[in-house]
Amino acid sequence: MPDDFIIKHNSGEASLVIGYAGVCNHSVLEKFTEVLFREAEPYLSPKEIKTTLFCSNEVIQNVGFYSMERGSESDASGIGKFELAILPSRVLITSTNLTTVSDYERMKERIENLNALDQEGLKQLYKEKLRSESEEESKGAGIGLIEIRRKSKNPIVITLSEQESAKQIIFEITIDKGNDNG
Amino acid sequence: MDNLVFEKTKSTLAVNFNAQTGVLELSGSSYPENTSEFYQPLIEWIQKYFLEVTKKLTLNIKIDYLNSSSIKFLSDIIDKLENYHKSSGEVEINWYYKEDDDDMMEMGEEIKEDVTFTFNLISA
Repeated sequence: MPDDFIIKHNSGEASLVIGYAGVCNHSVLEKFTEVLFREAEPYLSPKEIKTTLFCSNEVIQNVGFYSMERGSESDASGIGKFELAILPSRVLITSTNLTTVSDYERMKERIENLNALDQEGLKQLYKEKLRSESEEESKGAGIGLIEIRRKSKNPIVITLSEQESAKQIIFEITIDKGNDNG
Repeated sequence: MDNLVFEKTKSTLAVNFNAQTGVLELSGSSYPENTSEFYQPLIEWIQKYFLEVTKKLTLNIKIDYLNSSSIKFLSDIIDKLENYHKSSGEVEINWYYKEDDDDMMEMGEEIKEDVTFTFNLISA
């Protein structure tokens, strides 16, 4: 069981920050789920916690699937960073992992297409994906990002960070608080 | 035909499929380490039930969390029930959700839009 989550209450303007860096495997997902329910309850409504849980688990899982930096032979899950910050008016979820330019470009195009759709368009796309076979390259069902976009109700932000020769893909997901949006 | 029973874990559903009564129940949270490995036996059991038992099938769903790959597999199960119904099989789903759980209520409503068999949304 991973025990290296960093948990900070009342850090700057954030009422809660949960951070993790390392191998993103199933144990991390289970531990994060426990940590979120335990630590976020004073700050978020049950619906906001569920939306935060869904979006967080999907991005942690994606780091585990797609990061170019892999763990050891005994656990080859992807390595990356994850942070959840509960701010006064929103929840900000960020993930970072090594990528290639081609993977980033492919993902950017996909995110831009999702961001251009309204809720009805997203619902139609979600139903189409459910009826279709899973995409060859998709480790999940191909609906994770659509559901993140639908549930968060905000555009997904994706950027490429280049430090020396390392290329990192950064996802930012925002969930608004207090408007029954979460 | 044997029953199919799995105990629930932190990340997998409790499963209780009874071939004698035709009542199937799924409950808990679903974000398995290997989604296909978890759901494939459920799909195979249902396909065998349709071939060998051919009685009414009632699926009680009492789920509080599904990750995206679990949603896809649950949708595949519901598609199989729809096909059974269309070939004159009797099917009913009771979709239970907690009163304050809009996510599970909305998911149930969206599934109900696409099926032709009896689909009951029940606030518990």
